[in-house]
Amino acid sequence: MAFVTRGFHGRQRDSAEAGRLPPGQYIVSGFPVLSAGPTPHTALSKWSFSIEGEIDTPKRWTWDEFQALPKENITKDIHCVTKWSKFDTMWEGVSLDTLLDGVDTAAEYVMAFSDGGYTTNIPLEDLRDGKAWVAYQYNGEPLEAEHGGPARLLVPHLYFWKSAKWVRGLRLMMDDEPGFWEMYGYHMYGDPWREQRYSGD
Amino acid sequence: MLSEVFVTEMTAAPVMCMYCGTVTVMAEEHLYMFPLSPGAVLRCGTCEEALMVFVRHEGRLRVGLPGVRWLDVAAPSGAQP
Repeated sequence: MAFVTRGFHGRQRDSAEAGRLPPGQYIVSGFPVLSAGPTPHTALSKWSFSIEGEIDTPKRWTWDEFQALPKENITKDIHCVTKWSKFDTMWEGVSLDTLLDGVDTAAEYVMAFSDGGYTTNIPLEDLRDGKAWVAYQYNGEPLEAEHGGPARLLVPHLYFWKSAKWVRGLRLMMDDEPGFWEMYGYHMYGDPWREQRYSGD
Repeated sequence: MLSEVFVTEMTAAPVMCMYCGTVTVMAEEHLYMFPLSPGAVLRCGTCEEALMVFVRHEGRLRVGLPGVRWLDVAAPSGAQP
């Protein structure tokens, strides 16, 4: 039997914050940098974004083609598995709805892959319907390399390890497969509201 | 720093990178994300591929060895191959 104890522990919070901070998280004003490896510096002339795997005709955009796609301004709260959350982060990027438009696939999962070899798995439906973007600006400036520039995945409703830095594409998969951290015990889905930090949570 | 995630004697253990073949003691490889995160990555000081991955959870440390060809440690006294 599960007992709901949200809000029972922790310090008193501003009422505006209540209901906005997932369990076990605290608010930061800065933007901590956590990277599982050295920061890659891919020249924009060599950058591309691909959708491949379970798709008849793989899709690929160069940097210039990507910049020409319809862009959106996004303001979202983000939640890191290391327990910090940051409210109202402001991004600009391309919606995954735009990138997946017209993609006819039986796949139900994707593996996001990045420069430097990082990967993370996400259900395809979590990337549709205005829930995910490939972001290339933060606070009105080009996204800094240490924060994932030139472009990173932004899936703010999941823990931030799912928002792969330096993202270069998505591999469509029929079955769920573990990415870099998930392989060693991080949760396959990573919902901050259910504190899905580790497999078994 | 590495001794905090691994037993101290291990930090002096030579390790061969599966990707580039370089042999270095663990203490001289590059450690990322420790101690800020439940996960940490030890990368080859030469080619930066991931040698070892550590995930801490509920008092346990899971150690993945995705890039280690071998690790050379002292055998317990009296141990026979």
